[in-house]
Amino acid sequence: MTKSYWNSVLANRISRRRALAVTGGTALGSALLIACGSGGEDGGGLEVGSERAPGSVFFERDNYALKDTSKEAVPDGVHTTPIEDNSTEAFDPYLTVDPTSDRIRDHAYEYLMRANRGPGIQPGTPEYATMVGNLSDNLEIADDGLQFAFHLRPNVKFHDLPPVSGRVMDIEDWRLSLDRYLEIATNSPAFKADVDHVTTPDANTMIFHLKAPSASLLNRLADYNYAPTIMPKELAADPELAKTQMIGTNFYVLDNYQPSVTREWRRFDEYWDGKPFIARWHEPIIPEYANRYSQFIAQRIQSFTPEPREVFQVRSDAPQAILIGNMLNLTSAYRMFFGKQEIETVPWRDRRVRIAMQRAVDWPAVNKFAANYDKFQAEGIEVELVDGTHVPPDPLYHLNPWKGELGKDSENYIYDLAAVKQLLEAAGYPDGFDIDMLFNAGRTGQPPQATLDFWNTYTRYYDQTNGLVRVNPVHLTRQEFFDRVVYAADFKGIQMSQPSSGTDVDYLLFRNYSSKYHLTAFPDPELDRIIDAQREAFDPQERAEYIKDFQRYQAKEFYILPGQGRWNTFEFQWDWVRNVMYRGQNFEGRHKEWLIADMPNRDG
Amino acid sequence: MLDYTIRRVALLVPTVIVGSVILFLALRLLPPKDFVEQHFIANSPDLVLSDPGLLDRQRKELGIYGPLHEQYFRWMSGFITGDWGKSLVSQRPISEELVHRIPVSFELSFIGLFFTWVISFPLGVIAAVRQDRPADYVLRTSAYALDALPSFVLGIFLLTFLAVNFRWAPPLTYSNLWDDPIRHAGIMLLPTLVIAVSSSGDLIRLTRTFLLEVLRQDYIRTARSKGLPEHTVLLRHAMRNIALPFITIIGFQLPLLLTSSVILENLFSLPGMGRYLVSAAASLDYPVVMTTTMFFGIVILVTQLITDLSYAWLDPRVSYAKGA
Amino acid sequence: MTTSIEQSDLELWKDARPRTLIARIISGLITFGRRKPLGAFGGILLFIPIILSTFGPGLNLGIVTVPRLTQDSEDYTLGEGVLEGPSSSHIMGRDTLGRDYFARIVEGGRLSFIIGWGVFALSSVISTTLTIVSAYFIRSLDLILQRGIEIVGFLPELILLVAIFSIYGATPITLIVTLGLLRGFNSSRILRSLVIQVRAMPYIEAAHMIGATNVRVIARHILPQVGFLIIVTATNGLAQAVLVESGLAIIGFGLDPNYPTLGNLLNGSRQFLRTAPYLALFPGLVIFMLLLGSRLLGDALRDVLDPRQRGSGR
Repeated sequence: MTKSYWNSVLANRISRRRALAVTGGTALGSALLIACGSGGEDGGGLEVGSERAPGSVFFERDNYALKDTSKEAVPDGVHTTPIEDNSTEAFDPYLTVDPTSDRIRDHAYEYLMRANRGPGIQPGTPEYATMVGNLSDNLEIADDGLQFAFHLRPNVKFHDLPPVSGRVMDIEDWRLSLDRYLEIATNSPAFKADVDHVTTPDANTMIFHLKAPSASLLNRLADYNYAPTIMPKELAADPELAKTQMIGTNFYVLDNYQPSVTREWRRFDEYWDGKPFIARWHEPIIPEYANRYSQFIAQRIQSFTPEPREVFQVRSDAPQAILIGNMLNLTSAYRMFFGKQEIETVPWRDRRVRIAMQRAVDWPAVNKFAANYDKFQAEGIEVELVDGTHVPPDPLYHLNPWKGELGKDSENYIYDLAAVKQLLEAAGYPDGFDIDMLFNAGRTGQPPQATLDFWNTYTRYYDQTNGLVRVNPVHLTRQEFFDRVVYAADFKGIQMSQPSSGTDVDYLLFRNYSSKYHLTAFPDPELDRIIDAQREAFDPQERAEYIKDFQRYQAKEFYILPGQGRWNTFEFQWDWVRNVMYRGQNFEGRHKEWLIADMPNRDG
Repeated sequence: MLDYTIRRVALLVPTVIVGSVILFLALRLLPPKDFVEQHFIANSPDLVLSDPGLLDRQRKELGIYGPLHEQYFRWMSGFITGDWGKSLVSQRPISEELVHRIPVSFELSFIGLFFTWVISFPLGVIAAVRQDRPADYVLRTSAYALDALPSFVLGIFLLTFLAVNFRWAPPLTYSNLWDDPIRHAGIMLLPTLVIAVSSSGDLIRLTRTFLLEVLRQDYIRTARSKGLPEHTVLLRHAMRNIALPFITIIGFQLPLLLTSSVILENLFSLPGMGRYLVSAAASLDYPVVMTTTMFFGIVILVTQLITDLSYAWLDPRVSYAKGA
Repeated sequence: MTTSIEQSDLELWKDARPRTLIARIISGLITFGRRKPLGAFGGILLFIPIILSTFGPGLNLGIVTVPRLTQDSEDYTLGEGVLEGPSSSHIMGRDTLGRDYFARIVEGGRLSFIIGWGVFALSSVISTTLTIVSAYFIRSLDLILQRGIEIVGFLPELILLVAIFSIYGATPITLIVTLGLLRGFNSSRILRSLVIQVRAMPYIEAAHMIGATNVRVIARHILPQVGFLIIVTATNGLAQAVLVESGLAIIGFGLDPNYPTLGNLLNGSRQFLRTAPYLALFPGLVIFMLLLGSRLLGDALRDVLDPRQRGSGR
């Protein structure tokens, strides 16, 4: 008997009020009015707590509070967003080599599931953490969690381009896509580590057979770095064609592609979730900051991400633009992990030494500095800032040691030079110790100045420990870094503060802490138990409890140092777009957006 | 004369070959890891980890196997026959991608050169004619100053200045000359002006020097003593004789412009060869890097050849005196 | 009075012939300054940054002290003085971390100049050796070398550097070696024609007839004649190396990211042109000074030292 995912969630369904109580309703700030009753997916009933309006300041975390305005939508128009990258890209969805190509692919091709987004779905709630159907309209998970059964959504059409010509998607497309994905896709290794094989028992069903139960896999079904998209069988059979033509199911159809110049997409009228309002999306490639800036001021592009310290200058240059605080990444965290070399003899085999390293840096000060917190506060803008802990800042499970939420061990995170001295003495290193810190200096060995400056802000703290923590920065090119650090953890020392990737916290926990993966310098069966338990817990609440346990454990042990925290990046947008609250992890939901009638250059 | 031409053209072949060997060795002989491995480890390390046969397959496909001289022959023969291989990143044939970008770089250089001349030539003439007078000093000083101003610095400042003070930005995306000439002109205007302004310093001084030298000649004195008005002296007698050195200068300048366009193309988002090379180098797309570098080299070699030949053809004295 | 006349003659003669090397150099410089004021000005423009950078941070010049490089942690406090404009205590302002910008520029110039001198040294050695060997000694070798030189000439600098950097990484050594080789080969062409000309002079033949060895002829007659060209190239080369390095930094292939080379500073300042234009202005100004100075000085030197030039007034 299979247990329907929907059933399991609904059975444990927590009303929104309780969800907020569980998370403490903290960290998300804005005054919101809780609707009585459901008012969930269809977006009715919630008052707009803050607004997107010319000249306003708006945080993306409040997207959920916006009202659906589809009824007033004005069709057509051209939405122009600048792209910064300079690299050339591949069209074959399975042969992408970098995030740029992934992003391009995600315009045309779709995943089986997508993240649950829309009016009323607040970040930090279980709803927000669920996945809903995309190309699959139903998912059933077996009781033992080893089978995921996807149901083919009927009447999904492919793009009206030869040789596919608008045909309806069928199970053969799914089967051939998955076969090909498992065989050759560049992003498939992690997926293949979880999925053993795929079967298609009937014309409407596809089943993933897992090696072990995994809630993480569920959450990563729309992760561009992990999950398969669906391509038509004609392209799966003809790789040469797949390299030159993008034919998918998504509402973007590639209409004009000039390498290094622009990518232009037109809407797919037959899109399964409804014809998009916007007629075209233009993505001009503008690598130069000054150029992007001038295009934004001239109102030719809709958005612009300024240098963080230039935010207020740009605001005065473009007072009618909305200042938008981007959403914090709730599924990844920064970490500084130790290398495995000589781990039996090095000073940091002792947890007191590791904690000393953590306490030697005033991370909240570093974070505030990097986030330009004080300047924003002086202007009346409360930057969302979460200092780094061992888990991502998802309100569902995040415990904040700076608020004492980890009990006595909370102090292990807090800056205190006297404590550093004590800890090192207790560990037997009264004169301090030396450690190499490895930095990824980019492909050609030159990271941007801002990155370097940032590294400087925390390494200097080590210099100020009166010689107790003697950090030796080592800058490696990207290849060397991957070789020594990411692959094999084959180094002696610690790596710089770097974010984990992936759209699920399990990625972070498994790869960095579990002895079943090759990275951790401190294998620990007790920790493995917790990690496995959280992966197999499909209920978000239950899972959150395990992750809290994990946090409490790490607060004592510090196998890894958390590093920097998370804060909003800011961007500017002209207020021409409506219905942005449907945006998913990739490009899902953007077909519901529409452009206001009186915007400049509405027709490109 | 024809002799000389044939000899020079014939010399081109061994030059290119030896040059390609040098280039090939420079890029392949010493690096610690071959570039296939470097590229894939940098870009998709997970894939390399999980698929041990990947690197060898890619090497086979790119022809990077066997002893070095074999690899060279493979690459070179492919290059000559027009099979320039595929980009590692986009998986598309390099020749296809390059073909669109070549005209852009050339146009930038040629028009830049043209504007440089339009600006510098008259100014140089004025400086020569008004030698040692205030105008001359002003021009010479400005020439020095312009010379010391790098084109990219000028470009960056100009872009920001125009945006902030005039809310003006160049057209958003590139369009070809034949698609939309006016918009195309708007796009090329700023970069070519930047080139012109920053290259003119040198040229103003050179024009001035050459003209002064010509004006010292006897035949000029003769023309003046015949009572000819100054402007006729200038136009009919002087100018004709400075044509020759200027051809050499163009020959020098064009390759310089072509290579410095690398920076400007990045700055102004022009889809040219230089930008192609830079982005390929940044993503460790080595087939593109090698092919594009080779191509640049050949273009420059050919330009030099044409300059030399036109110099020889136009000046009979040179062809006789010129040795190998 | 004979004694006084003789004495004054003696003194005049002494004045007219300064004997020590240092005195000779100084009087040479003064003469140069008087004859070619523009060139002298260029020399000052060129050498101020070089001297400042060489003797580096901590140098106390009485009027102004060059502050120590604030890569050290004690010298800046997190959050203090970020992006402050030029002021009396920080004459070039402070950067994104509050570090003194003047100190960074001075320190950064060091690497640029080391590279410049390195390139000059390498290219001079290569070009001189090549030229002398080919033009003076072996005719057959000459032919081959000529072809080789032409070929290396066809490899454009910036392009080749980008390609090489992507493979070997962007280190100063790579830059010095590549530029040194390229420039060495290129300048040997010009040197070569000069050497051939000089070699054809009668007095060379005469020297040989007397029995002077090749080495002696080269050292005493040829090298001094071509030496000036090497010097002129040097003055240009330094600034050119800085230019190349900053150009590379702009397109993302700069050197050692930790080091505040002029190119790196310029590159990192592009985002701040609105709020802190001085971040780009000062490195740009230094580059401008270097280029202008080297051009003025080079031209003046060529006028003065080249035995062939008739002072056509460039």
